[in-house]
Amino acid sequence: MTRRVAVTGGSGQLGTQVLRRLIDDREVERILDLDRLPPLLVSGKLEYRESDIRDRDGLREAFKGCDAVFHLAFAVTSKLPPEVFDAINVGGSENVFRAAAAADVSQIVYCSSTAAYGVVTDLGHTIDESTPLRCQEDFPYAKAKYRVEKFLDDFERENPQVRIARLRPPVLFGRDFGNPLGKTLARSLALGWLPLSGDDPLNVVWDQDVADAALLALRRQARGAFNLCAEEPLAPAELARVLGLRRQRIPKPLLWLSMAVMSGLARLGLTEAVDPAWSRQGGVAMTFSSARARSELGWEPSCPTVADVFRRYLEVAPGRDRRVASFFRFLDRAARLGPPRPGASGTLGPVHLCLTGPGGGDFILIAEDGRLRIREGVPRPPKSAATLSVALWRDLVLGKTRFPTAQMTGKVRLEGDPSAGFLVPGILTRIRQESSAKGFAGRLMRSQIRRLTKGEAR
Amino acid sequence: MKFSLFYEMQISRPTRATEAEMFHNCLAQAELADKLGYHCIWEVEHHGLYEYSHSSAPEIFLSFVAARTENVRVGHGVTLLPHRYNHPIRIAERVATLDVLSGGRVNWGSGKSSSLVEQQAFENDLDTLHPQWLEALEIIPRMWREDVFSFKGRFFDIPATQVVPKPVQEPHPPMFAACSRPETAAAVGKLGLGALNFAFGTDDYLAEKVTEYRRAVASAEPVGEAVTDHFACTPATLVLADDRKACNYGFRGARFFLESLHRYYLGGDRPTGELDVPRDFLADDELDEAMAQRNAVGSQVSNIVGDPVCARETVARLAAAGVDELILVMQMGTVPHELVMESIRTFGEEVLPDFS
Repeated sequence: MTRRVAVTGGSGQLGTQVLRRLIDDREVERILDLDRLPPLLVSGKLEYRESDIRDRDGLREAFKGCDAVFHLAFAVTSKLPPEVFDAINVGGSENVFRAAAAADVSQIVYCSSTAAYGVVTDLGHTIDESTPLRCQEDFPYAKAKYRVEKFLDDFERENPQVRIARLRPPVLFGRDFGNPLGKTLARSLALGWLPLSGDDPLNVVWDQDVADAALLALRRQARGAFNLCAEEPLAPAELARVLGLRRQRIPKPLLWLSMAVMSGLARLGLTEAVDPAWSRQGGVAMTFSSARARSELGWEPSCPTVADVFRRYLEVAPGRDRRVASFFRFLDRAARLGPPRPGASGTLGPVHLCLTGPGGGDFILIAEDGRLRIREGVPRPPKSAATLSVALWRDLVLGKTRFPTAQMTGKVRLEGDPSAGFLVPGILTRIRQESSAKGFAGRLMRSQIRRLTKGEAR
Repeated sequence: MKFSLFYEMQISRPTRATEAEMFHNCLAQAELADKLGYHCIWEVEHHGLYEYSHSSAPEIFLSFVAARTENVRVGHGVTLLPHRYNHPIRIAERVATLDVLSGGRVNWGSGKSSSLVEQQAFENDLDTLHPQWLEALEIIPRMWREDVFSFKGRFFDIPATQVVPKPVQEPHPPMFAACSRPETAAAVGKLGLGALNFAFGTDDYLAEKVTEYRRAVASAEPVGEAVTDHFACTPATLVLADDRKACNYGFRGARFFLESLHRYYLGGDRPTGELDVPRDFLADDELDEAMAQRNAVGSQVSNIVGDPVCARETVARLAAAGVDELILVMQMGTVPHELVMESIRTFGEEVLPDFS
């Protein structure tokens, strides 16, 4: 039984999904998130410690008493000086494994990558875990993944008492991409474009499926490597046809140019730098087998094929319908102009209101001394969270269904302190009152509700 | 774990006759609970919260309970301490008298009230509710201890006065206070008070709240003469042999409870007349979903609704979180008296003994 778990990189894209599962597992009593940024989730058993995996002493201290460590922290797309990139990814990973062994941690789950295989051009068959890894010198990310795996080969021999599972997923897709490349891709998909060049099939996997595999590896006390890929990778043209998306062809020189512009902006501190090596990848068709994960971990991905991954993304991602966002802007302005709630003092929140599905989004609610503020984003860390579908949110605004009913039937998930359970129904109560009011305020609210709920999201 | 009952004196669409009947029904429920070994009958104090809580004079009802029962404790709480509701001398006198007449069975809880409806009705100063509560809380145990009491503070200037009678429990009845968040639970623990919580939240959140409370109470600077290290919460409850029937009535009652609470606490206005809240049964598909949601991953531990098997599972979750006492909210508007009686009996015979 695993009672105490540490997660490096628990605040990232995959880390958030792993934390989600650890929070939901009633047998897990304590979760330590070691990351540069606070987590996106809230739980009574989650503890955040601002950490850098280059600090081995800090890790050793943090891992004391832990039964298991998930090592997910990795600089993925960042353009960093090579020595810094390697100090984080290779040196930092070595620190994590050594510190875990020193703290008598019995299970490590490490998120490696299919990139550790390097570009395999002459293979001509499906890549499984017995395929030798190759160091891809011209791609720092792949090279770092390769070097960590090589380190692990020796480390496992020296520390046979530590069980180490290595997960090898390809590109992670999810509702919330953790890196700028993913975010760029998400913006294109929201517009109905598939921004993939070339004819090579893209390997992807749904991030929640990888998190499921990570938890399975923990429960099954797994050792060794596991490919985690969605099957049936499709060439971009075929994928666009299956999904009904328009193909967005970006000539390679233009892609390089945009990378150069981004890295220029990054030097000015305006955006996060992306390693241009990412844009040079491709040109090779590689097929991976995840049979070992299926048979040994019992892995059953919710998105078994690449097309399923893209379909799921289009189902759950907010997309470009901005009506909910403008409705919240209106509520924020109205609350700013109106009087504060009498007698209310102190702060409620921040609450993460997560509206899932096309047309949804993430919003931060805070009430300070009786005044409600709403803005877009996700609080790090939230005090409280409410998760529901945007379709349900529209029904709640229209009064078609009511918050307590949605709560009882599990259509709203509430977490953390009671502020979400106060603020969200509080907003709905206010909307109901104002929309039935006479005069200008009532007319304004009614017209805003009409705008929110008119027609269907594209 | 201890099991108690919670009384808001809730009633849907009251008439004079049904309102009076409800009070008598509640007395019968308390008598049954006493026979079945329940720990305490807790009753709140509210003013003007039509349908949601007709419990404006809990000391009267509780004295009836004390007279008609033998072992069950009487939980006078939470009483509202801002002095426009109750002068602290009156609280000290009433709690002591009830303690004398009940033979030392009183638990006393206090709060400051958070509904605008009652705050405005009593013209309370909304900015000083907390310091008013705190000052009254500090002087009430002194009134019980000191033969001749005098005090000069921010809100009270009381010359040498003999506050009588004195309670029979030593050093005085256990003291509790209402709280909702880990921060407020810790603040209550710091004062050496037992914690009374509405049951909102998931298992991990509740466990965190209990942990914060215990940490604070371990280093308490008690306002009274004794520390009460006790954490209670108040799940909506209906437990019957027939699972679906319990859910049908239980979720309907819990929804009425929550909806009317929202109406009085979240609206920022003063609703009058029949509340604009649903009081019908959940639709069939909603009921199926709500039943499936009980004890599911990520579910709240706020309802104990269903048959004894399901109830035991939820109670075990609450016990795992470290809760000492469950104050079961069975008396919810829309739940018929006969079903409340059946639920008190079913729970008392088939769930309570497993956890005592």
